[in-house]
Amino acid sequence: MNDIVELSKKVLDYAIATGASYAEARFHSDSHSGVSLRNGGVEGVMAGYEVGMGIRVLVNGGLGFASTNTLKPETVTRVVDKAVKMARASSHIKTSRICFSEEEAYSVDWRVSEKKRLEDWSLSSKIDFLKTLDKTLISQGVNVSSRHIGYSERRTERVYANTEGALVSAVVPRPSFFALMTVTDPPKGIIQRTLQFGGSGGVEVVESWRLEEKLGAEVKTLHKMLTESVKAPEGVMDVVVGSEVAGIISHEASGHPGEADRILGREGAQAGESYLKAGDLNRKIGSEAVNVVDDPTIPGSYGFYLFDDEGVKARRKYLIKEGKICEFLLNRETAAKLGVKSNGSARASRYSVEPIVRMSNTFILPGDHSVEELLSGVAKGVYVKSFMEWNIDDKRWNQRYVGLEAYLIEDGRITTPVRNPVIEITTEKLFSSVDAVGKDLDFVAATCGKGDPMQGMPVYMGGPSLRMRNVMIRGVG
Amino acid sequence: MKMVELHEKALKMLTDRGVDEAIVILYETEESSVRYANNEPTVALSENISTLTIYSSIKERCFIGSFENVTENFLEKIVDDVVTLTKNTPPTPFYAPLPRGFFNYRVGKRVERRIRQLDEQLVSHVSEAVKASRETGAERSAGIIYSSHMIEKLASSTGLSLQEEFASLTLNHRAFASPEATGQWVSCSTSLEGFNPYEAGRKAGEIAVMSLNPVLIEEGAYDVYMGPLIFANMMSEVAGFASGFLVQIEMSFMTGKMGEKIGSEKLTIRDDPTMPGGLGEKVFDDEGMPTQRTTIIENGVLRNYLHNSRTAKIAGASSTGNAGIIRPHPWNIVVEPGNTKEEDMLQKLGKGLYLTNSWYARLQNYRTGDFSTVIRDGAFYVEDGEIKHPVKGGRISDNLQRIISNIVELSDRLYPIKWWETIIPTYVPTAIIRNVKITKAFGY
Repeated sequence: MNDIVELSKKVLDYAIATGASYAEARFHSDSHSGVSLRNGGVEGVMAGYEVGMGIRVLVNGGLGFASTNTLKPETVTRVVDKAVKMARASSHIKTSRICFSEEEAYSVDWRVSEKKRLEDWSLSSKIDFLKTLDKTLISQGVNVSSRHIGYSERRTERVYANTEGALVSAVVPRPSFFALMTVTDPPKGIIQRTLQFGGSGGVEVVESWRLEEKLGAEVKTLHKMLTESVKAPEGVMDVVVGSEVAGIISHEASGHPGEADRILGREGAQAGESYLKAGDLNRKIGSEAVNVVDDPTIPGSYGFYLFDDEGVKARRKYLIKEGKICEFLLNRETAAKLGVKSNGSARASRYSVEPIVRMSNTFILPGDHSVEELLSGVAKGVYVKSFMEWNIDDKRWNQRYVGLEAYLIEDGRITTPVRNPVIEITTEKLFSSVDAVGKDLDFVAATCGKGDPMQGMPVYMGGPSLRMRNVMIRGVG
Repeated sequence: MKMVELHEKALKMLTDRGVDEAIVILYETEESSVRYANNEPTVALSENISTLTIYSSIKERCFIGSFENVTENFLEKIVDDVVTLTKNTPPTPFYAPLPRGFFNYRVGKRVERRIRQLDEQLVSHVSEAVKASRETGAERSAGIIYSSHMIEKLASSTGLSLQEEFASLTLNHRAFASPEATGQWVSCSTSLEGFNPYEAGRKAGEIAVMSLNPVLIEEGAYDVYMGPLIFANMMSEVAGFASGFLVQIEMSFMTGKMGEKIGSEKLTIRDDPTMPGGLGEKVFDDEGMPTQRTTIIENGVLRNYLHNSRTAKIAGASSTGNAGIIRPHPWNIVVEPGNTKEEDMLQKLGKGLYLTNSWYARLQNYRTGDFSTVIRDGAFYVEDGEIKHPVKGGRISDNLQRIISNIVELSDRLYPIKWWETIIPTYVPTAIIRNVKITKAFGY
């Protein structure tokens, strides 16, 4: 890594000498490997690495970014030339200058430790692990007609340096697992489920997922929903959603609209803008029971980091506090525009893309109710524990979640399984309808998509069970 | 070491170390882009990247990988690792030998190399598009313009040594007449002459201005006139489900329906990488097979899945030249146009909705095709063949097979579409679809 630090310093000096007022060099080495099983048969082994450097410069208020994976000084300086040239060209038609918030320049080396190192986990052991899971899937007395499961791991090593003196290096290993399952019962039809697990750390993280137990239970649940569920009730009623649904709500209805680049219009043509405006801090968006945070510092989490990809120290951000918009997710550019400091939300998925405002681990904070207590307050309603289909408009106001595992609630108790209840609701109505929050905080791993070029980013989405009053429920079809 | 030799050197080292089969592909990519928002560039981006991908097999044990920053010294280690991993993997029941034979490849593909040197000119194109939108009355614009150039070099243990070049320009432009009145358009071309950022800016601006003061949509079943962007989003989704891999893992509504009527008689969808000048024009696939024009759906009947050697073997079919080693996919989707002039389509619709764009399609069940997608940008209520007023807040909540079965009219002009939501180049006419289920959110 000393070579990389030296190369970075040369790059930064060269950028300043060729007209940049600010420059940063970000080296990533991402090695990855994986293996997948289709209906119990190994598909093959995958491995490889992405290694390169991205250089970002400010020239006359224009922002340029260039990347290469040929890490020779002469190639990298050519890349700097291009970044400077393009930044200068774009500055000519700008009426406002881009600048970055002033931040402390850290010199730090952080890394995620592995109690059991991933590299010591042999390929044959991983394949045995997957085969055991596949056997679990087919030994539940249920026809799982299609099973596609896979394990992969990615080890990211990064060195970040800028012309303000920051030098941050990091090492993060991330294991992940996916499953696609189709359960078939010919008279009743077909039901499907996709699952993703992920975290930062070693083999101990994989063990903590308790996949054998969860996959076995999931298959049985799918069969129950397929064979026993009745048409979902329709109308305005009380709803309890499980942690998985709370997680996607926190991500889509609070995290994304709270990204300051969207609020300021920078993602306008792709991921869109936001229902929030720059002056919306303290705006009431939900009941006092709703508190949403984004926190990259949770040990073992999929979205874990201690310093972001602009060298800014990471911290927990309150996006919604007691029902009011509290803080936006900020990088240095958006922070400068809003006249505040960055809160360390800049991430780049690989060396060849610019860092943009991203979530890390976004979740609804737990309350003090048990699930039984949440249910006990519902005379007639629906419990939506998991979902498959979802989407939301590009201002993050109009969203839809279609339940997968779901039940009627009658007199405070879970009773009959119901088929695909639909929650299609505005953000304010959704958050305003929450009257009680569970204490059963849990997370799911996901890969969040944003940016153009697209950047897939590892995140956690989470929350406890939530009770919502007077929500419209409909069935599919 | 010259990069041009790298893939061949890697292949020789792999075969020298005893792999049964190998394909090595070197991709050399140069891409420049300018993102913009609020009428101004937000960042200028460029990348210059070489990637080496390797497929190897030993006694039906298979490895697939991709590597970057590959130097001569490092190549030894990579090849050693690849061989070790290949040997240590169990045989795969999905193995199929690499295709062998005397293949005829199309010749004469034209590539506009001037696209490589545009760089600063991209900024001028952004200005053109923004200006065009402003002239329509739209106050703000955002978007991205890409110039892409790539050389792909393939060498295989089956004796192939192939090279192909690609160049394209794409602009995705969105205009805002107000925060809720937006319009989107694209310009995509493999030639400078065919690229028209001004036109994209003008069309997006016009849609945005027409969308001012929308009223909340009423739920129900509507006949819908789909413009090129939303219809391309739908058709790229549909054609993607023809992948033999998705079909075989039951993640496609086309599974088990070969030869069945799954769509309207009006609908014919092909994968056509042979289209001269096509955004997805491709001469050979990742196994070195010549690509071909493959009819996926013909007059509503499912005719072919898209195969690589693996999926073809499982299906008892032949490769269609669509590899991906693991997952075959379309290269250049083409929906056959109809006979109706585009300017007559609203009249043909009569009463219903005119939708210009969508995003965020997600499925509840891939086998059944139950899905929803959010209506985005200009959306209009139509009566007597005329736009009455813009609408907002809607979502298509329906089924993919039902959607393609209810196509009743296709226009006579094809649009090339490639953007954030339609990743695989897709050529579509505009379309009228009957009885589309539209929902809206509770709480508006």
